[in-house]
Amino acid sequence: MNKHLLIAAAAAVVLAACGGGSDPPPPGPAEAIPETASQSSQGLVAYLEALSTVPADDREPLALDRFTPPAPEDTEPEPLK
Amino acid sequence: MKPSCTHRRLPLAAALVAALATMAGLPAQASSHREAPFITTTPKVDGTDFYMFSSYEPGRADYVTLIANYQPLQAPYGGPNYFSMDPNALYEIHIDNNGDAREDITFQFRFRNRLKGIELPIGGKNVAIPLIQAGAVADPNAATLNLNEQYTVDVVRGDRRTGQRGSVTNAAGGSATFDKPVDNIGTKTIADYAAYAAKHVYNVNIPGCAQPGRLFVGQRKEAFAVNLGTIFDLVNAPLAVITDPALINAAPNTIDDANVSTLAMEVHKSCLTAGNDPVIGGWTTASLRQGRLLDPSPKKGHQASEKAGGAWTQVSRLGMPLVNEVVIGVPDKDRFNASKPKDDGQFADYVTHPTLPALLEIALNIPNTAPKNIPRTDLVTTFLTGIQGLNKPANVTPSEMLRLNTSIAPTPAANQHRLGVAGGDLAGFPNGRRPKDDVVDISLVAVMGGLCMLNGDTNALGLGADCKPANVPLGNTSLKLHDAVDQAVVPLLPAFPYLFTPTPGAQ
Repeated sequence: MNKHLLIAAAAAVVLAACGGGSDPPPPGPAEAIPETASQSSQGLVAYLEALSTVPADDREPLALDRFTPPAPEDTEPEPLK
Repeated sequence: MKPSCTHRRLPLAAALVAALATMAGLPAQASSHREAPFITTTPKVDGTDFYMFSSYEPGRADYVTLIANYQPLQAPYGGPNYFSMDPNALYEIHIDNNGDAREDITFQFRFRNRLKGIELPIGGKNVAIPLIQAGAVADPNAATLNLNEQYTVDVVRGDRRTGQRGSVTNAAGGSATFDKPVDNIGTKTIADYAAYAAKHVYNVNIPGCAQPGRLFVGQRKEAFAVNLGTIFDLVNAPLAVITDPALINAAPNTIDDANVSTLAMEVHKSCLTAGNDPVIGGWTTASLRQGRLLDPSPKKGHQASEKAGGAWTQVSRLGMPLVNEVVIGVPDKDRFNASKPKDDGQFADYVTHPTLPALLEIALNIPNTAPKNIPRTDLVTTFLTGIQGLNKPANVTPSEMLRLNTSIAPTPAANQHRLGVAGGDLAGFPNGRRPKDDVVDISLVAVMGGLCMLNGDTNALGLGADCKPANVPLGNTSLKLHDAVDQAVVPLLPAFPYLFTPTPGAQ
């Protein structure tokens, strides 16, 4: 078990050293609120839809300190998927 | 003013009454209190009743009063936070003045609940108090009021979201912000609530209107009377009682001790109608922002646990009374609350093939008594368009809303008939709706075929050839149905805002 972990860690170090692989994936919807959620109603709804599909029973809620939701007066609601 | 509709049209009007009521249908209940699954989770935006009538306060006959009630079944003692309106909601009253089932004028109410943060010095420290008042209250925005509710009203002409917008302003001073009285906490906090509330009735200038209007927002005594518990317990009352006209007030009004939150405006009719058509349609809606995130660490403040954003999303709709309660099926109740009148075709089956009569058969153990004229053209004709010669617009797109012929003079309060048009009072329901109109009893009559009894064998009211007495198994008994609670004995004010002073939480 420990041997496997060491091998995995070593592989990760090698990949990082080579600059290998692509950029790290963006955080999931239960891990961070994307900037797009504050930029438009479409972005907010897309984020909330994504959030609603993520099992998060084992997580604490996200802080909202830097979240400012858009509040347009002249648009209709976004359809939900 | 002479009514434009003569009394010879009364039978037709009576039919309409029944039809509209029929839509509203069956067993009486609070008009629209907790009627759909989702709205029970958001009581602050739960629309309960909508009234629209030509003002019957002396000297105001050329004005129309619009009243939208929200937050049902308020226990007067429901402190310490009571029933403030939702600052994250949009409350609206819509007017369609050309019959196309789309709003032409919308009054938008937005609330700001300002927490003053009253503190008391305790052992050398100033500490915030836990109540919304720190002493007696007698005037608007009293210094002792810890939470002061304020609101604005916009009028939007055209589409409710993209139309031309202007602010309603106080005729005295020009402010666009108004104070809402705190709820009737009790007589020790507010010694004379009627006088206190009266200080919150504003004369207002409305953009696009030549004449000033009036405005009031605040708690009122529930004006709807109903045998609520009995009705929902499979009409737990003897048939002999609810078909005896002498017993229309045999049971106590279940919700007599409840209060409600009222948005009231009085607007000159010339500012609501278009062209030569005196008929307007009206309904109220409430909307929430489409998205909401709950803050695990709310900031100090008032109602600080959520951040809401996105477009306004409608969650409550109310025009005619009782529609979503007893006409629309459970799977479509949330859908109805989110819908617009222009799309009402999707609910047509609930009107043409209503389930309420069959439910009454079950509830009252009176098999084979439901009217047999299916599809119920009587209900479709009268409910969705208004009655020809009474309150049908010159051009009408069938849709559910309250319709008022503003050219019919109001009936003085003392002379109003609780059955409205059916009682010979053309200024009452379904030609608009006044607080005194007993829409529950009218609905019971209509749903069990009373409308077709009036239509007779000659289709006198144009409700369909099959809408005739032979298809009404209950016969004349259908005309005697009631819920044993008399709407007409509910206390009301003789003038704007008409609904009575709320019951105090203590006295």
